[in-house]
Amino acid sequence: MILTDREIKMALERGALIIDPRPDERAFASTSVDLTLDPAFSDFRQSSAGVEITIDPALDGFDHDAAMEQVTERHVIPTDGYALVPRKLILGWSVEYIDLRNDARIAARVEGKSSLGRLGLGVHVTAPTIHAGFDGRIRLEIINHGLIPIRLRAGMRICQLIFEQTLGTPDKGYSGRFSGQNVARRG
Amino acid sequence: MPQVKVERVREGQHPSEVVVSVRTADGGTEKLVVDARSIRNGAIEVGYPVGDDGDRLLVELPRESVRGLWRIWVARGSMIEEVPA
Repeated sequence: MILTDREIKMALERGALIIDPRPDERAFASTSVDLTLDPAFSDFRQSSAGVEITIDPALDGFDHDAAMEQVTERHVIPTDGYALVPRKLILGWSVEYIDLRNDARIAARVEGKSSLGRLGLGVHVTAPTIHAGFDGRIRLEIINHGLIPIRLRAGMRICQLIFEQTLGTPDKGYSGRFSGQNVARRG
Repeated sequence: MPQVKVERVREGQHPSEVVVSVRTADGGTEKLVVDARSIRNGAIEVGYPVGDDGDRLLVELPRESVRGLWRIWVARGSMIEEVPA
């Protein structure tokens, strides 16, 4: 079931869901909440002539984060914005920190906004799922599929989150089988 | 919520992120990127174990690891359960 704006606000009120900073009223739609673009982003380094780089994610010991460190550079969106040219992929983040740890039955999906989608702007590459138990900022794979450069500005509404209630409680949220077992305890 | 101990490996790609490693039951490590806020007293929340094999517990990480795993076996002793004060 998709949470409505009313259900999302109730979940925020009771602490089952945290969005920090909390979005203002204009960020809500009937079944979604808009998130905004953080100024930090990573851009892929340009290959030098004659240099071929291949990523092999199935190799034993592959570390995607270390690989991304090698092939990308960190930047900050300037005050006059950053023009994302056609066919270019960058990695971005939401300003908002999301915490789904307090209710094992809430998951979410990150989706694009139709107003930006019509320009060709995508915000994820086949990985929209925010699993139950997640916390952190939403990582975005931002790509311009269109024909015209799109100026990205820090703080712009970049994506929307759709919250869903799971059918049943995931194993990791179900304490019955393991309660009282021999694990270290900290009070 | 139960937690597992982690060690900081390096900063993540965003200033809010940290790469941490979790010690696996076979003596290896599994690295994942987490928000710095996720780390409390050197541990991250993983929820209740989803499998049990004697001295090992199967836990689900809060995010996919850097090599694409969600669930890993950890030593029972590396789990911490927070008890309300």
